[in-house]
Amino acid sequence: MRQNIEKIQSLDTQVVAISFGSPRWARAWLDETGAPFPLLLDPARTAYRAYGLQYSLSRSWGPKTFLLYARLMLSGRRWRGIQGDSGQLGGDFVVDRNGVIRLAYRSHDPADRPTIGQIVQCLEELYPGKKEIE
Amino acid sequence: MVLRVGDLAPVVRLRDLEGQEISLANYWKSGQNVLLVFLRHLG
Repeated sequence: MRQNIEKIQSLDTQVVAISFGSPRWARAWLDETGAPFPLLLDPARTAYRAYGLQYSLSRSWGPKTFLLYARLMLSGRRWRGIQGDSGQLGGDFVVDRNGVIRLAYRSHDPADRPTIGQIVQCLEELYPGKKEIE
Repeated sequence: MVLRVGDLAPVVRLRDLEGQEISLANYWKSGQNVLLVFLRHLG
């Protein structure tokens, strides 16, 4: 993860994580992952709704989710129980410096994430240095 | 209405772990692009 974050940050981009978990859970997550970016709390899921993120209990608990959990556990992550509403799905958005959405990726299930390549490609198109070269 | 690429990003005020309120717009108004990562239940 760290390499990916460094790549994203090198493209003049601030990473901000948003969680609907409790402050205690969020702090544990930050400590465990060593995430080098801010984490904001959204217990009422106001931002999740504003960005149109989906809700599905059935899709949240399919085989892919269990595989994802198994993989994370094998990589050393600790089981911390389910936080908040487990039907809430996540997503990833790139917002440019004018406040315009440049990438909108809403997860279909918890294992569904954009690839780092998709994010980097979007950011490279926004990177001012690249425009000068073109 | 579903938000699409090209739309203005919704501005929402949230709190950080210290309890300080922060507007999402603060991040892009600082002059950088922003990657918002909405975590799933395990992150």
